[in-house]
Amino acid sequence: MTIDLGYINQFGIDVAGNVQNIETLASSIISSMTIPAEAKCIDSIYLDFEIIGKKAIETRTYNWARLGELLFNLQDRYNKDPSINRVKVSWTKFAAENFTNFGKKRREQAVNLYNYGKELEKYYFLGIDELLYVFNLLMGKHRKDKEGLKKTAEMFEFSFNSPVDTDEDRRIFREKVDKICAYEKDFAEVKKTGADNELYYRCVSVGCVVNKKVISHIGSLASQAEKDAYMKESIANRDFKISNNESTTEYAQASPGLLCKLLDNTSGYRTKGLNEVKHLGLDIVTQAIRELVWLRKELRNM
Amino acid sequence: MQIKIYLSSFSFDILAEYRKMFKDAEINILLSYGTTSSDYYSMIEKNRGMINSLILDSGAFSLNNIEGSNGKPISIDGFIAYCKTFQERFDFIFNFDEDFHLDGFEKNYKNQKKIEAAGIKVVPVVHDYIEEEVAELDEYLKSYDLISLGFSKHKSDKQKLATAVHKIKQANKKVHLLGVSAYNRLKNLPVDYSDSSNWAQGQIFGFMYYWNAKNTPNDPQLTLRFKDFEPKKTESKEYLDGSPYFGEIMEYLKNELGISYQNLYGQNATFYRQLVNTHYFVKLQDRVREAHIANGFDVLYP
Repeated sequence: MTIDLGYINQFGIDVAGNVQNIETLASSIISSMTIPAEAKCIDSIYLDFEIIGKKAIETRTYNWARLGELLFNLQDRYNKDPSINRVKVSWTKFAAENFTNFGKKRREQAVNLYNYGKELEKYYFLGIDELLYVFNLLMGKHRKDKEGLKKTAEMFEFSFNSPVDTDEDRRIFREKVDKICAYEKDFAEVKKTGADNELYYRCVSVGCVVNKKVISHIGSLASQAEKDAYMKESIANRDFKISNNESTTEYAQASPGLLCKLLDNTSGYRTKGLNEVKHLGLDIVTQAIRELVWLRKELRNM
Repeated sequence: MQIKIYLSSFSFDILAEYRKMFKDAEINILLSYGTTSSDYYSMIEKNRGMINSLILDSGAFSLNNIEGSNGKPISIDGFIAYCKTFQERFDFIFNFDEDFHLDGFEKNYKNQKKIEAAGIKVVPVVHDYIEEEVAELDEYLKSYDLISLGFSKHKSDKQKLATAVHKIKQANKKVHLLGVSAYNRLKNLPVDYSDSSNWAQGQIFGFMYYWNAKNTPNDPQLTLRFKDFEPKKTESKEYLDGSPYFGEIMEYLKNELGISYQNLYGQNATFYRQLVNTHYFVKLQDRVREAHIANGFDVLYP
């Protein structure tokens, strides 16, 4: 089979040898090749892609998708081959025996990535783990609800097809991805509480973070007006806040620290000859003495 | 014209207390999307009536000067979501002017258009006051009635700042000078609006403000340090304790606000110091208005 590596050329990295290896190995994959030989061939291609990816991280997502394509075709061939007893030798077992470099988790991720379609080159900076997390969250959830996906994307002004060329574009794209993930993660639970969709979107947009307590609190509010008011309050304060009357903390109105401060300061005036005693004011000192006399009496009685 | 000086990033407890003390005081507040606070909702929705004029900043200054806002990322999408929820509560809202450079117009203008496309009216923020790189002021003058002068390397140059302010006023437009509240800078500039966070910063950095026109008429804004907190940013070398005006300052605090020396250093020192500074800036608004009338700005720019 042929493999298009034109995308890699634009980065001007010295990987001509690896590109050539991949192209040669890929073109050797023909129908007459045995399935184990094809697996070994892909395992070698994986090593060359690793070198390319290390030299230019921008190529990684694309590389993963190409490996996914090769693996997908191999697995398809494996599943359709009538000579293989798949009960005796499952794909899992076959793969474990024939891939020494290309690990199980990465193989699965590469196939998943490939299955999400092409045009993934621009999203290299997310890394395969995060990219798949986003895809799984969005497309997994909206597989049967294309309108829902469209609506969410519109709400966040988000598109996987928007150009992401500069560092600034990447920062913005990443922020949007984070926001969408935060929104989608708890969407179903929040919706069940009766919270308004648009206000929930705004809460997420301004940085409010949902948790179980918040969901349960919204659910406990009786009317829609109360729910809306709570969401608006959260937007204004950019945080979900739940008043907890059970554990109110009472703050001490006096502390030994203040007395120690007084001792430190007074000692400073006395021993270091600081010329500032007059600014304390006689009336305040007199009052302080009165309070201290009372305090001494109280402590002696204890 | 009657200047409004907005107190930025205000807190509700100070607002409530100050309003209790001065029922008719004109309190104008600027909230920032970049500064998250648990009492914003109180001011935006529940107690909007306590505030004379309320405006919203995008948090672009926080974006450029500190690491986010209490850990909450600042993004244009979040800002739009915030504005959509509360825009009718604000008298005006500033653009998301994320690029403070002289040539930042393109990015900021795109943001302006994006926010406007979402149905939100925003005030443009100019960073190149004198067309050194971009004639942004001319551009905005074509379509906006209110223009703000934001962070700029031109800002500290009195001549350049005055040129920009006069250009806006001569075009019969209004001008907001962002982040300036020094009396000597405001009195000779026909600005319609300005704002300051010094009411709170003064406390954070350990300062209090006192109108000292009686003793130093040419430099009436006296800043005094407190002894229990040594600020890194030394705006003033003079302490309250030890000030030649100590007696009259204490008299003023007692008569105007019922605040004692003990209050300033006691358990609720932060609260009382913020009240002192709030009062100073509310009064400063009247003083700058008087100076503007004396300069004939009310006739020149009715």
